[in-house]
Amino acid sequence: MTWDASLLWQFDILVLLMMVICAVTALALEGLLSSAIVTGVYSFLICLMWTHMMAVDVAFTEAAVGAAISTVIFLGTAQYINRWIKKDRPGEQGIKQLTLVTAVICAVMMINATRDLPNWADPASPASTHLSPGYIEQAYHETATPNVVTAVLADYRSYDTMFEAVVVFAAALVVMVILRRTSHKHRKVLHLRPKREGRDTVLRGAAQSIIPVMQIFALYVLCHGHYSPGGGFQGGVIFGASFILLALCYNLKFSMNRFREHAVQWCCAGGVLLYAGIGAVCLVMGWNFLGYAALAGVLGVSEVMARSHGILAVEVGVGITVMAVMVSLYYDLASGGDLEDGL
Amino acid sequence: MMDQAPAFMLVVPVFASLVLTLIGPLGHRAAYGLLIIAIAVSLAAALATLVQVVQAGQAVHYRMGDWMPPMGIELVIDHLSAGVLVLISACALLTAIYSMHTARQDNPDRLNHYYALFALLVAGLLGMTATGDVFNLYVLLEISALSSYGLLARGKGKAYYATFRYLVMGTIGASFYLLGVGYIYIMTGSLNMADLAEILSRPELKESVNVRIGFTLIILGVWIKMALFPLHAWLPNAYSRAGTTTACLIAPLMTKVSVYVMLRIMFTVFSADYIFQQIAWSRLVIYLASTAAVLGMITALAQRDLRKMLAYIIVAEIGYLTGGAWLANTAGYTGAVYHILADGLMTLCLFMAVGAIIYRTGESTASAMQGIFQRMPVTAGVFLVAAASVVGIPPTCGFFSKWYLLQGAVQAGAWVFIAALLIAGLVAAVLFFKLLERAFFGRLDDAVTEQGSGKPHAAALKIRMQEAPLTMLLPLVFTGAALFGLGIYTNEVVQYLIRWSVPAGI
Repeated sequence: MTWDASLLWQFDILVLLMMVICAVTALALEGLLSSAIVTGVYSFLICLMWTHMMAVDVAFTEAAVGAAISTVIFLGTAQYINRWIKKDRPGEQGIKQLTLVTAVICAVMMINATRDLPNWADPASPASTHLSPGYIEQAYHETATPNVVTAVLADYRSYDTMFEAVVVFAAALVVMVILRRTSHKHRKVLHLRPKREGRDTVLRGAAQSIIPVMQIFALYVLCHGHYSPGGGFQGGVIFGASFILLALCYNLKFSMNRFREHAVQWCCAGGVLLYAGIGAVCLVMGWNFLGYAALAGVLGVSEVMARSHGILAVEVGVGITVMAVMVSLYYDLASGGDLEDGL
Repeated sequence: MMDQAPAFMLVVPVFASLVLTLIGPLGHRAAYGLLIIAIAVSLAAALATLVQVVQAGQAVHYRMGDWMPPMGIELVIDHLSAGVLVLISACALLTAIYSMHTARQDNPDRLNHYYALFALLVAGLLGMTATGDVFNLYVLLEISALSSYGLLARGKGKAYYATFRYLVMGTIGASFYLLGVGYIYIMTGSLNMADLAEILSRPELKESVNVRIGFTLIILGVWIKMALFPLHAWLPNAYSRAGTTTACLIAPLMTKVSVYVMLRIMFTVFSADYIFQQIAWSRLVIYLASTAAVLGMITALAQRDLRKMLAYIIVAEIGYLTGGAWLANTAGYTGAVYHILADGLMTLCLFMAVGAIIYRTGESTASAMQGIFQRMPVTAGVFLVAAASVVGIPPTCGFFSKWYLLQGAVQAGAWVFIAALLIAGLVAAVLFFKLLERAFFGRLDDAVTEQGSGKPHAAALKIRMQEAPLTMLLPLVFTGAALFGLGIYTNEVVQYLIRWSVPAGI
């Protein structure tokens, strides 16, 4: 497939303009709920940009995380805090203006610098000539993984990806540590706790038909990351979203009865444990940490196939962690930390 | 086994953190033990790596996943990072031992999750120091930042609010760093530090505006993270409201590792020639650093809360470190690197001593120091040593770092920085003299005599027994001894570690 980046420059301008409008609107709106929704729109627009740049893997993640889950998390949080931004106190106006001036100066500097940048999708730019050709030429022969992005992500830079999974895990841990500690009597914020019986027939019907498909699709995305855009992060987010949808269509209790808090915690840590465990097995087999070729002896396959299997295994680890973390974040935020009832 | 030491050092705390998340039912003793074992393994691995580096006289490279460097990620542990790695793991181990009573006091519930974040923070800091890849550094920066938000939020009073401010500032800093790395990547196509250094030294990139913007953004991001004046506003509140253990862990390490990152970016990825010839604002940094040192110390003098006072001292020390790095000569660089080690230990010592005092007296204002020499003689003695080190009295290590910094400043003719160092030192002396005067001559509270009106002696004796528990005292005394140790072995440290890491061209 050939790709002419200049073909759709009008599209880029349009999307960029809309992104700027969304960003300004999100700041200008006074209600947090509407701000959250506009931020979701913003994410969706970036997602279009990534697709246009042919970075489908990134677009996929952005759609799942930025446009979907983040918005739900924002909404979940906004219901427990004051939804309306207070009027500026005297003195704050000045600080805001100062911030605006700083932002404008930064923007002018960066726009000024764009003249010096290589063109979009320029085959002669350093980013396309230095390391990328090496990855594109060797990745398939070395890892038996047709999707170069997956090979780079989960093998060449696997160490980064392990710590990215740890970042996701840390997010759940931090929210747990902060929200689940307050004792009940201090909970003044929760008097507006939304309670739902979860008996809406339309919603239940929709959930029953969508969720199984969603979960199968999530597993497909996870396992098919070798061949097409996708992988642990995207698959995990979609799988986690299916539980959130369940909670939204029925109620939190219903979802928590199916995927208990304890199991969620085990999955959060278990996924990263699987990832790091594979790295440790490689180390024990006499290779360096995360050198999947070491698995050749254990699995009885060639080193190249061992790398391919290693990639799949760590993607599964990432998927489990991301899925559990999404659910854990939702449980904590929707119920205000006491895991009893909520959105 | 020896060549796998870098991997052990990083991975063991990660595993510990994962396991700690799950062992809540086993109780706090199991969590405490596991944390100490994990960090002790890390320390052993860091020491093994240090020995390897010093013996071989060259950096240890560890290729993650067995991929060759520009394609894969490598850990590069040279003389500079080996020293910082030992500092991080040693400080973390001492804090972990120290935490036995205080962590339980601050976290009546979910202690295992608190310790899990503790281990993650240590892993993140070690990873930032050991890595040889600018993007990997960002990922680990996020890990250490996220876990520190969690730890700091478990503090007292308005800790949530202070942490939220820190979160916003920290996120802006990290975004600047990432944006800068993005610019550099567009212009070079690489993320590996050694590879980047080679590409960036080519003449066609010297004039590039984008590389300059990338450098500026990265340095700005790091400055926010290390709280250089005037980007320091988040630090004092966040640190002074943290729990005792959290403060002991984060205060000495987070900012020092950020300084290390600044040195890495300045001298490993870029070069002294590039910075001081191409970057227009590089000559102004010394003034910024001088202001930070003086204003930090003066603001510290004005504080009533003990830990806020120490937090402002950190702001001043960051001024020293930045100034040393931007003096652009060997003595200044040596002073800055030596001061990373010295200030790490000093800050740890001060926060531990103050933590012990707060634990026993329950007060955190300066009046807690009243008569502390009678009540907690050992703690007070160690506090005295740490204070001497901050002021810069030989043979504590604080004297030698100042000596190098002053030497560098004289060589560079940076009179403003010399003045700032001297004034800040003087203010620090006044500050600690005020505290120690109270601690030494301050009478025991009137409450004591009233309480034991019949037998004042018995009551006074009872007060005298109030030394901190042994698990707090041992790390405290060890750190105090280390301040002397580092000072006495200054020559060796400079000769075997720092001299090797002095970058070419300065």
